[in-house]
Amino acid sequence: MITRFHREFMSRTILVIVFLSAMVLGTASAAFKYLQEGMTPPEFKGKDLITGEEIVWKPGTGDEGSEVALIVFWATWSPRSMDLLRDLKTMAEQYKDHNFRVIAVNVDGQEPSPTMMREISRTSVELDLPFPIIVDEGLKTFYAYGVIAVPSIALVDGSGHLRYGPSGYSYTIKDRIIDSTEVLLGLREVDAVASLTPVYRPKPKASRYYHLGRKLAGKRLYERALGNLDKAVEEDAGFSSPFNLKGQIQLAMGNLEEAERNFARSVELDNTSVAAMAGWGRSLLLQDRNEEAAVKLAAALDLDDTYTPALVDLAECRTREGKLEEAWDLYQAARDLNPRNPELLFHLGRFLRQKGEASSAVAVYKTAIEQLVTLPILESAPQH
Amino acid sequence: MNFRIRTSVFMVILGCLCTGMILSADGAGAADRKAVVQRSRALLAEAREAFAAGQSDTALARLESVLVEDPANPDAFYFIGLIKLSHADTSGAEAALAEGVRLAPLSRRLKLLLARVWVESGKTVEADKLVSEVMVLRPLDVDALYIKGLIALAENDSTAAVEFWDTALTEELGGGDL
Repeated sequence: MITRFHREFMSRTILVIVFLSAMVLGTASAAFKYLQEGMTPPEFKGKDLITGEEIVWKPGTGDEGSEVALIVFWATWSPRSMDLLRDLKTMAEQYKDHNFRVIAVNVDGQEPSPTMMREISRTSVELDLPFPIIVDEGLKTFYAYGVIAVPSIALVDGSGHLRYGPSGYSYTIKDRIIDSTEVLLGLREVDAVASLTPVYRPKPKASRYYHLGRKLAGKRLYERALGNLDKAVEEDAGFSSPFNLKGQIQLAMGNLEEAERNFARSVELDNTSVAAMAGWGRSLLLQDRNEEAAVKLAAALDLDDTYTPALVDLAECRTREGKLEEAWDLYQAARDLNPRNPELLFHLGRFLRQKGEASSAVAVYKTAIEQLVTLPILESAPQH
Repeated sequence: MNFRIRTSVFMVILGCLCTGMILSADGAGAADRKAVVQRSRALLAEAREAFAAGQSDTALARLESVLVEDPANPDAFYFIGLIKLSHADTSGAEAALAEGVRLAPLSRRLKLLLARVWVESGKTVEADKLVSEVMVLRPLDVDALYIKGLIALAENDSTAAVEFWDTALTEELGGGDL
């Protein structure tokens, strides 16, 4: 589906050079809105679902014995998550004698209900996973990382830097995870893997200000967040992520032109940042600059054709242009990747209403809202 | 005179003793109540864990123990309702939740879960009344809007259902309009 979509899509775009560059450089880290390769991911903790043991993950320091960590965000409702977990089980067993650790963070829902917990436990027992599973209550870790799609993976080296962070799970991603892990464990030559080309490492002080800004933004303390992000930029003017986050904040505050400027600057510093490119597209779309938005969103999808926000926004562009079939394909591609993303389903529901497909719209809206309600969902609920 | 003073002193001492006894009785009562609350909480936590582990019978046994200690515990009734629902025992769930609402008439979650069960059993008018009560205080409550949509669907008004859900999603996701 994605491949076909990608081919059709490419025929409509003139950004061939960007595409070729992306192919040469490898897929950008698109799984996380607030992290780029080279950055230090936030620490987290939780109880192992099976053993009850308290698991604390902190980025390595590069000292002897520092582990290579593979953190996977997964959900029971995501078929790709099941494939990924099975493959990670094999990897964990294969590399058990090396400094390699897998932690599975379950993101089934904001407030896991007893029924949900049972489903997670059932899946874990069934797969017989040799690594800990943490249920991300309140989706705190999910939000701290800015996960875009499920499943998502963060491969972190022994020095605590994110080295590979794809979203979704395909054969290409599978191969690259194995290759990258083996490089980080010293089992393979570095130049064998394009994804492990040198990455930008921000100055530590800039990184600290950035993470503080990210935390404040998560609490919607936008002005204070912006202050810290400005300090991050003062410390390291070449660090692109603060500009991306400033753009996201300005979007949330409705300052669209300011958002556009920040995203543009972020892309100028790092033209492989999918989140910044897609954010730039969204800021243009919200200013009703449809044509320019479509170009940026297409560029984002050239970098990573699984980046759901760009798929959804480009679908909106195509809808506005009256290209409903193309919009439908984009929505379908996004839904295939993220079948329970409420934001995506919300837009898809509106699209279907606009198309006059009332009964499909009802089903999509119902699935969307069921991701947000805290009440138990009864399977026998009226279906229309 | 001497006798009057002695009588007054005696009365004061007697008064103090009585007050002390009453306070001490109250203190003992409060301590008992606190112990009951603590035991109930512990049992509820155990019930929750057992249910999450798929041991519904153990969970129900714990909840019954809660009700022996504290027969007016609305949380226990809520949880019994949940377990009955997971066994597709709609009438059992309805009875437990209705009792919970009777005990805690302001409980949002009890009212909404009961309303949800009523939608299931076709009592849409009753469900709508309960949900509307919740929405007086919280007009954009996502759970309430979800049930409103289900009620509309049950009444074959899919347009209204989508409107309720669109409102809820716009509220929750923000910036829904591109």
